Amino acid sequence: MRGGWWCLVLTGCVGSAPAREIEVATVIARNDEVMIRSRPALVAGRYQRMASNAFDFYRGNLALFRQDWELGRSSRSGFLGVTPPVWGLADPHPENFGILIAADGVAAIEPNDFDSADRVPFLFDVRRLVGGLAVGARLANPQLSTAVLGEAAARSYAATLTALASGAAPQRATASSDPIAADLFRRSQRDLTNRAELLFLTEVKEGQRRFRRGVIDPEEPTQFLADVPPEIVAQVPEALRRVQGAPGFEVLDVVREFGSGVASWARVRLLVLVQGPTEAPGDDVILEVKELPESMVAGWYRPALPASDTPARVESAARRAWFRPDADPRFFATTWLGLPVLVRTESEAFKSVRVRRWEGDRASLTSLTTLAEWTGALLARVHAQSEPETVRAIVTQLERGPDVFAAEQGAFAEAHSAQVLEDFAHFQAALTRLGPTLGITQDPRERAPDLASRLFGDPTP
Amino acid sequence: MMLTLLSLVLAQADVDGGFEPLAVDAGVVASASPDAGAGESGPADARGEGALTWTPIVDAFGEFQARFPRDAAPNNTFTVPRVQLGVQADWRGASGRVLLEGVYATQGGALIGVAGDSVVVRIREAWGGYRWRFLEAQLGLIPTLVVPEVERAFLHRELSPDGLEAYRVKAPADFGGLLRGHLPAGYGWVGVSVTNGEGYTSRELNTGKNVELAAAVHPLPRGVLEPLTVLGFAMVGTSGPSSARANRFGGGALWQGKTLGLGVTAASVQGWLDDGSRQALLVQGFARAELFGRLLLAARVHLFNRDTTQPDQVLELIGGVGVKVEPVELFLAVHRTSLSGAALTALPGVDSTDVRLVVRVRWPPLYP
Repeated sequence: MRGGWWCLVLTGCVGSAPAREIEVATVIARNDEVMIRSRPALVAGRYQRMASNAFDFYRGNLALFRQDWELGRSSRSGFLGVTPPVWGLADPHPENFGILIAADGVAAIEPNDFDSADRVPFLFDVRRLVGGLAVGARLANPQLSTAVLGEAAARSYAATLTALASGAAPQRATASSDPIAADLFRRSQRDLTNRAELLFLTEVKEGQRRFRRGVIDPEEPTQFLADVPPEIVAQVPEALRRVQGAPGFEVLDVVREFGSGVASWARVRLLVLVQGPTEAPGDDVILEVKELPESMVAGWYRPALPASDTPARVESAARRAWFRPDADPRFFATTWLGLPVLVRTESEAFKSVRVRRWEGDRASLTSLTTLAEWTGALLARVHAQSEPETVRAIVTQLERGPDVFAAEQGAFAEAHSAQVLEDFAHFQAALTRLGPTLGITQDPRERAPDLASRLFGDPTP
Repeated sequence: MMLTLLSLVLAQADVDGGFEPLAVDAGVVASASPDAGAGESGPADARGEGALTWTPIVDAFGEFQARFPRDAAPNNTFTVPRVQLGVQADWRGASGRVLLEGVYATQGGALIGVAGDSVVVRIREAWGGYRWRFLEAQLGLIPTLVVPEVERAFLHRELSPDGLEAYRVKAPADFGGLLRGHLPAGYGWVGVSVTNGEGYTSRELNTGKNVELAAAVHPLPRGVLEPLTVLGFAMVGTSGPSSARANRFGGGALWQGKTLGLGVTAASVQGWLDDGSRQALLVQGFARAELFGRLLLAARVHLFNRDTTQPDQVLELIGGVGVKVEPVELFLAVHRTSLSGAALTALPGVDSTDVRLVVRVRWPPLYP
């Protein structure tokens, strides 16, 4: 027993691991404690995913980012001043941007994850973005200067926000010639044309389309589709009540999707196959019903709340952030079976930025710098939807020294991304040392109620 | 009937942990010489205190707060910072207490069926204990040794929780047990507690237990200096599943009078918020007075140096004036929170000036 028997009754048994390793593991586990106690296997799966590569770790470490912010490690700046909070994204890492196809049929790059959206200091979002860009760049092309990427994103952010505050019209990112964006648009158009999600996820038997079951992509063996208990399937139309008015609406099939995402890996995620405008199986539509988390920065600016509840927080954030509010025409948030959930289009044409695709010319300095610029500009466009006096206050801060601001974010990106790689190693070590749920175990007496248990499901393929 | 039972409790007035039955008309909040002759008093049941007594505990704050943050738009809100309801039973040397409190449920993922940020009820204290001669033991979800002792001097929790609790330096209650030895002739007590270390709001996560030694000594237990209390504590422990260091050392001087309360305390913090390497320092002072039997004055200051290796401070100044018509108190208070150093950018929305109208109903009258 570590530390001897007296650890049970006495103290002095401080963990022997490095202090930072202890902190990384504790902050993440404490943040997930409620989930671990109700669905430990799912959280274990999430941690395995986070331990698989450094960028997945970054995607799942927002609680640690908040901790570092609150303890003054990530929040030091000469440009925060007394700026009011913006309507922010809270987790705008590069993989949370991607193509959406709006109701007008136009594909555009937009922020596509609002799980943590909330009132935040503008710099919190900027640093989450430049940190993510730098971590991705370190993995894709270790020779690159991550500071340059941070500077590029910050410079673009400042210029765009200043222009928007001066009355410039917001821009819609509908096309780009840089390799990363061009790759997104090209693959999106390809998959839109051939309805790739129907090809990948469904099959037609006896004229009726249904989801496949099991592992869909052998390269993603932990990601699979499974049956949903009939009593839960019967409840699904209730979750979709805001789209039920569409002509021909009919739920054709429902599956539980396991192993998707990182931060939301442990959350309930259903795919719902809905009858399209005609009875032909070729125009069926897939919707995703995804459980939403509480805001990761809940409690900041208390007692003011960003919205009355989680669904309202997430949906209003998306409507504000997008160039047009129907950037995903089927997007809405609601409460279902007591859970806050998000309903959105599941389409292979909705391509997200993926760090693993940063290779070849997409991993060049030019390409990543351009990515940094347009993600910085998009973030500025999101922040510009905040109150005018808030935007003016930020611009006033930025105008004190745009070059210094850019350099400050560049330096942060470099230092923070190095810290993230160290934290990633700490996380892996902690997972080995403490076990699959980082030392928190479920008491059998606190298992989730029957219906919830069946909804959470078993993440074993 | 209730008054009869209460008078029996007050007559006993010698249980000295967390809230204790208080001698309302005594000049000292910590009861009229609770430890007087403790060493010689013999078993409680031999002192003719054989009647079972039930003491109800009711404590509720209602508040209107107008908040003017430095970095956000002003806002105002009605809130209920505390709702507590409980009962303490005493029979001969045995005692026990169950104390419930209402809190907001803010964590998702588990509370299926609880919509939004609902107010739910949880247990704040639930313990059983026994006092034999000068020794007193409690086991369960117990009040910790230090925070209640300091709160007994300030008494106006509705204005601010003690800094030890507010800055998550020490929890006011935890799962565990304590043994308190009452010093003879009213000199106070010396106690030791063994607790989980995560506080009453969390399950046990670490593998070890937190051990705390504390003492509250009345150096001059007779005469006008009877309310003077010298407090010291040392806690060695950890928190979280990886056992991050969480040691606390400190002390202070308190004046626990009924109409006058004063206090200065300091706490050295080794390990904070799961960062075992962090060193912090909390210094706080407070004063309260009751004038003309109705008028209440209170002020306190917290200075929390969150990181002793660099500028990183939170300074709180709280002042209030109120009136009391037992069991109701009404305060108008101003609360200024000021940040400097790293804290300035690290704590969104915290740097603010608040104007508060607070009403409190409590029973027993000097429940801290």
